[in-house]
Amino acid sequence: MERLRPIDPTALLFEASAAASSLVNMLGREIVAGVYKEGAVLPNEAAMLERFGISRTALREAYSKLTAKGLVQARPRVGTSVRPRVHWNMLDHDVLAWHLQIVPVDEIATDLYTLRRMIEPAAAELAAKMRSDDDVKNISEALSDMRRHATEEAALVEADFRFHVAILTATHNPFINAFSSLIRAAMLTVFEMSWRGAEVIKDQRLKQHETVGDAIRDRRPARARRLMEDLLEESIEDARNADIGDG
Amino acid sequence: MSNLNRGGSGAHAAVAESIGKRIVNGVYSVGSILPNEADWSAEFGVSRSVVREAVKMLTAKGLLTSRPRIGSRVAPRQRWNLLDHNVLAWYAEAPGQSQFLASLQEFRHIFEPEAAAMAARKRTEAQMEKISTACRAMGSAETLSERSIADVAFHNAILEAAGNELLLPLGSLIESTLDRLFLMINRVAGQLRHAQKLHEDIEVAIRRGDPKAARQAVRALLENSDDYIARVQEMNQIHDTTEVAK
Repeated sequence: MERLRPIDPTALLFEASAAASSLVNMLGREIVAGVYKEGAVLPNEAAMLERFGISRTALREAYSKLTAKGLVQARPRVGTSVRPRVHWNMLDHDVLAWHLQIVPVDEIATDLYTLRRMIEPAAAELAAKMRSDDDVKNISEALSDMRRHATEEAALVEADFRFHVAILTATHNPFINAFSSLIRAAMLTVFEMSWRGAEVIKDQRLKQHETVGDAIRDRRPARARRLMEDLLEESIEDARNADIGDG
Repeated sequence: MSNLNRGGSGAHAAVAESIGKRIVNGVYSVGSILPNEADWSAEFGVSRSVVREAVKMLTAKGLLTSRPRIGSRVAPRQRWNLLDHNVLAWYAEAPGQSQFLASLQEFRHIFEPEAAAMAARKRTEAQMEKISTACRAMGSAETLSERSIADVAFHNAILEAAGNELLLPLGSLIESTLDRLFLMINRVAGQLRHAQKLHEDIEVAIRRGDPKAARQAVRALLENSDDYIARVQEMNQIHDTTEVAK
């Protein structure tokens, strides 16, 4: 026999919010993929409730999340419509993740590498000037984790990401910092690519990371910059090779 | 406390602004548990659903995390989305932000010269037209605010012409710097004319498709802003000292 569920208002709220977040994912992905074009008005509330079989509360919750991400806006009498792309918050974790799912990986990887090559060598130079002892500790912990997990892809990618973020953090520039936390989704995708198929050069690449860490620890800005430039240059090669290997 | 119940969609934005400023100013410290919906609703004189909207907005901006039953907490600083227009503006006004402009300029030096070089290589005709139009509008602007709008459009058009979508959100950083600079602008004579010339150099370099010159021209502009900021801050110090002497 079916058991009666206790009526707990918090539980109901929980359900509404779980339904809302999967709806946010679905609608967000459809908007980013262009199923609903820029400027288009979304189907009315009744149609949406029927399509997704959710409560009105959940639908409104989902809309308010999409509004906060810059994807839609509600106007009286017009309804909820898709905003022009320029208003989308591309550095929002979810928006970026949806975008990554539809853009060819090599396109986003190229954009991301371009950006990293603009920012990370300069950040390494700055880090060598500004780093605290804690920063040095974080960088070297990430490095030893990379070495320890050299054969476990997920842990390796995580430690590698931590290494790069620790350097950005060591600049003590809040904007460079904000930037690093926001490109996380894109970086993880590309990191996974760059380690795949790169088995042969892993040890050399690990050593290369360590030399960057040493230059920052020893406060050698010019050297830190140059080594980071080399590191990124060769990571791109890794990614390209992985691509060929898989394709 | 002021009553923010103006109705309409502006109410939750106003509540979000009040709470957001307190977080950025450190009135609520990182990790601390925030007042509940009912408290805020009473303090601001708005409905609980308005408070809820405001909390959602602040969550999307990375300033707080909320969980059912536990409530909202101030998120760690690294999660704050400083590239968001509102968060940037609140952050700029927070006390103890003498480093604010310096940090912004430091980051601009890193990404803008390269973005201009990319624009010189990849710009389309339509993108060039946008850059040139904004540059002309700067030159012919009759008020400071007109000029400021054209200036922001000029820099955004260059970011767009660089052809890298991930660069676009950085436009908010440029805009915030320019807003701050415009608050100071009347203080140094001849600054506007000189700045116009520096912008025109960038426009010409991108038009000619010369990445090196574009990179160099942007560096010159940023260095000019650095000097300018330093001079104004010096003047402010002298001003402050005189005030104290009175």
